[in-house]
Amino acid sequence: MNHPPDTMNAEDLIKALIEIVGPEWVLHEPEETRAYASDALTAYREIPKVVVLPNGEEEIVAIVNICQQRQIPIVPRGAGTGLSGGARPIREGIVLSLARMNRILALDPEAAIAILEPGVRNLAISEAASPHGLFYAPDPSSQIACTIGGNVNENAGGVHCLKYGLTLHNVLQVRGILSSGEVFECGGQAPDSPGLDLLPLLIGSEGMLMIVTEVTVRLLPRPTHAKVVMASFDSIETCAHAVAAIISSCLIPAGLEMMDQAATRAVEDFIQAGYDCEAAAILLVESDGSMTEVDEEIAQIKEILLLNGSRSLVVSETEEERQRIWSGRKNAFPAAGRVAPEYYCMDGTVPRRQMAPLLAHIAQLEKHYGLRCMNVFHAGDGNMHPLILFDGKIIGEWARAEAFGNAILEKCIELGGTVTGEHGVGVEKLDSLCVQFTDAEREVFHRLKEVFDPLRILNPDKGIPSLRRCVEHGRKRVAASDFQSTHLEHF
Amino acid sequence: MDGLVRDVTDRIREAGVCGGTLRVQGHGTRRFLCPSKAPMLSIQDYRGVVAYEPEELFITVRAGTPLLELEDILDSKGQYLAFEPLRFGLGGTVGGMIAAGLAGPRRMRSGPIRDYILGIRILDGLGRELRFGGTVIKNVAGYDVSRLFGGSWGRLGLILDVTLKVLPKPRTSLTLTVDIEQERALHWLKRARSQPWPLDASLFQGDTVGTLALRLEAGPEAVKEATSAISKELPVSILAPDEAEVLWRSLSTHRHSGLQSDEEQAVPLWRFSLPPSTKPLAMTGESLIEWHGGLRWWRGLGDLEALEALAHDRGGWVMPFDAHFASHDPLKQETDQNKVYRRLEDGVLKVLDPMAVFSSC
Ligand SMILES: Cc1cc2nc3c(=O)[nH]c(=O)nc-3n(C[C@H](O)[C@H](O)[C@H](O)COP(=O)(O)OP(=O)(O)OC[C@H]3O[C@@H](n4cnc5c(N)ncnc54)[C@H](O)[C@@H]3O)c2cc1C
Repeated sequence: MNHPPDTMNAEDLIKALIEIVGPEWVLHEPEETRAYASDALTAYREIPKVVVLPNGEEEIVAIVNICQQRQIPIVPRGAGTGLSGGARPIREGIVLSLARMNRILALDPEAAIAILEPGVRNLAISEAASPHGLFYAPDPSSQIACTIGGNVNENAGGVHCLKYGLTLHNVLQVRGILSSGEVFECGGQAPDSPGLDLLPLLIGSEGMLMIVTEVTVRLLPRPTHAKVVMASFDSIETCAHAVAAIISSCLIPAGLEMMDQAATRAVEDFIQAGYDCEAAAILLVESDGSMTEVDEEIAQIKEILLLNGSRSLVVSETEEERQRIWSGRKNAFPAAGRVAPEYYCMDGTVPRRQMAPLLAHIAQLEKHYGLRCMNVFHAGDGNMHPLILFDGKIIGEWARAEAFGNAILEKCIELGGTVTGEHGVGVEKLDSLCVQFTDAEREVFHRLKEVFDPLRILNPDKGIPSLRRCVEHGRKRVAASDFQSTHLEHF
Repeated sequence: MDGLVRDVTDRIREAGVCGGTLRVQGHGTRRFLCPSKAPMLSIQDYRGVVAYEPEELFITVRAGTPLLELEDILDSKGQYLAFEPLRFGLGGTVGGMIAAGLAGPRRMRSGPIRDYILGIRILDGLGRELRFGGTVIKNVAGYDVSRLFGGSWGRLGLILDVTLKVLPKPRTSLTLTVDIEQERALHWLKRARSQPWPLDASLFQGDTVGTLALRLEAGPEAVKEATSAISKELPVSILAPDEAEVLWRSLSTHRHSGLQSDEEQAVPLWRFSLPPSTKPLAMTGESLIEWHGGLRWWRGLGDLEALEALAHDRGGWVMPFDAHFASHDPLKQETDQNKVYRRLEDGVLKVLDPMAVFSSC
């Protein structure tokens, strides 16, 4: 591929795309394309010149062939609910939306699998499986909207992942189109396959390795009963300690979520889930299984929580009540959107025992940056979602929010964790990856991308920072640490 | 320990410079599946626990740590490796377990070994020390390189240590058995997968008729409930705990009489990996069926190509479980799919081992 890329002006490109998918599926007027300017992390925006919505692999191959010859970057897009800018358009490129490919191709209740097009919404899978007593386990809070293609590309998790695993653990096979235009299939319904198992590379690859066109997932028997315990605590530390106590008692609850007071108050104002707003933190612990199993486990959980400083607790008695208690947690992000003009959601993960120290550190950072932060998190696996509240219209606030976020992530690394548990790196956490990995490790990432996408047209410049960017970031950090050592002595 | 890593690093670099190859070995118990003539690089003295935090549900161990030692340590805290690794006799190291990527009887419940890899520290083919993943369960920073090592058979690099997700052991284990036709057993297992029973492992042993063993593991109540539900469908009886222990152990250690290839008669043992709902395969003689139908062992004289075609047709693959197992190239048919797979696989291998130091089997 040494010849220079063919050039093509925007008009010709649009024409060529229309030939493939038809005029109604190529968007190029700003009023149409504006809706695709960002994913759910709206601070990073770029109005795309062209958005194309293919229907079927053949159309995708034809589009990829055009882009490949002309080295036009492609940004794959599911529902655009991503929180790291993964689906943010690239100036010289096109957005390829998979929203139209939303059919459930097969659902085999006996084999307990479903074969899906990439645009199938996460919740639609469980809805289709439900009449057979089955469900698709990973349940991100965005499940009404987000797609299985997006889930595969972010390795999405949800509140039930502690017990049932992440996307990785529930996907059997992935099929897609490489930037060469070839079809690639990985995994299968047999329990293992010969050769290197490349499936883990594709899961969480953020649209950088291939365009996913088909996903086979396993379905699980839906537990017949579920109950949730809501427990209040007077301090974050005792709450975090109770989490550790539950895990070390050999229980793996179906869900284990924690919210701090700022979060419960915002949620109560919005949704009236019945949360204790006087508590410093609340914990939601779910048990599922057969009725006796659930009762047995709930009794154990109650005992542990009371022994470990819970000042009051409520157990859901009806399914309605259980749903109400969860609705608060599931609406935490929108609730944040009501108490401040904007919020910036972080996704760092730390070992469970470091949750309380991290929260204490965040409280100090709030003062330092002059911004409020509310915290909700998947306590069972140490995955924290601090929501930094800010007003983008006030000059300098977004920059401060970003700096605040970076400070949290660097603390996560220092505490033995990672900068992203489930939202991905996208464009947002590129700098943090400079800190989390060495040059050699990042080089491995770049070279893996090259294996799949030698021309670098699939979501380039996302996910993995360039060496140059990291050198630059290193310089800034040195400068910042000089600054910190003079200004943060009171910490 | 550092001296050991230094020596190993030097040997990798030297091999890279001289165009040599090396094969990484722990106890060598899996060598019969992956024989290689390359000079050995032993990692069995690189052993011990680096970090174990039961309440964080992870353990970091050096690759040379004996699997039995690891299991004892976990057991002392009421935890275990949920995938119940397949091992060969009493030996075997943690590194070998990861590199072979072979799960044991609990596979259908637990998922594959690679799902339990949280992080890894390796020496790549240039002798560089690299780390991927970490100790936390959720981590999507960078590509998921650590899980590539599950089933890599030592080709990607030398594993120094690995962090594994561990889980609390279920409180109760109960094994039920029933005499049954193979077809009916498979049909029943297929349906059982969509039932909320803690069906942890299964074994059908026999020809067209045989014995089905079902292992239930969970809290006592759940096991009791599932037992009574299953009893309504099948005339099961309960296997004595010590006999059950011996049975499942004979599978996880590969000592079961049905798993021994007959070398004198040159009758190989075939390992079929199939979509679990596959109907009975039409071979005569005894077979062992594990993983609710997903794993089938058959001892007999068969033609590789015919058996391959059969397995392929059913959406799976087959290999004799011997020196050909790990080296066999099942992608040899020149379909477009296979060509792409091989190109990407080669590409990935070259990223971590550009000089091809780590020998394939
Ligand atoms: C309110 C809210 C709550 C959320 N809660 C959770 C949560 O609990 N857990 C969680 O994990 N996430 C959560 N998220 C984040 C987000 O919903 C997930 O990351 C989700 O998986 C994204 O899916 P999507 O279809 O919107 O993908 P998009 O945002 O459109 O894309 C995400 C990435 O995948 C790529 N991509 C999408 N489809 C394809 C494809 N077919 N082929 C190749 N690449 C593709 C894109 O290029 C991009 O890099 C939440 C987001 C919001 C707004």
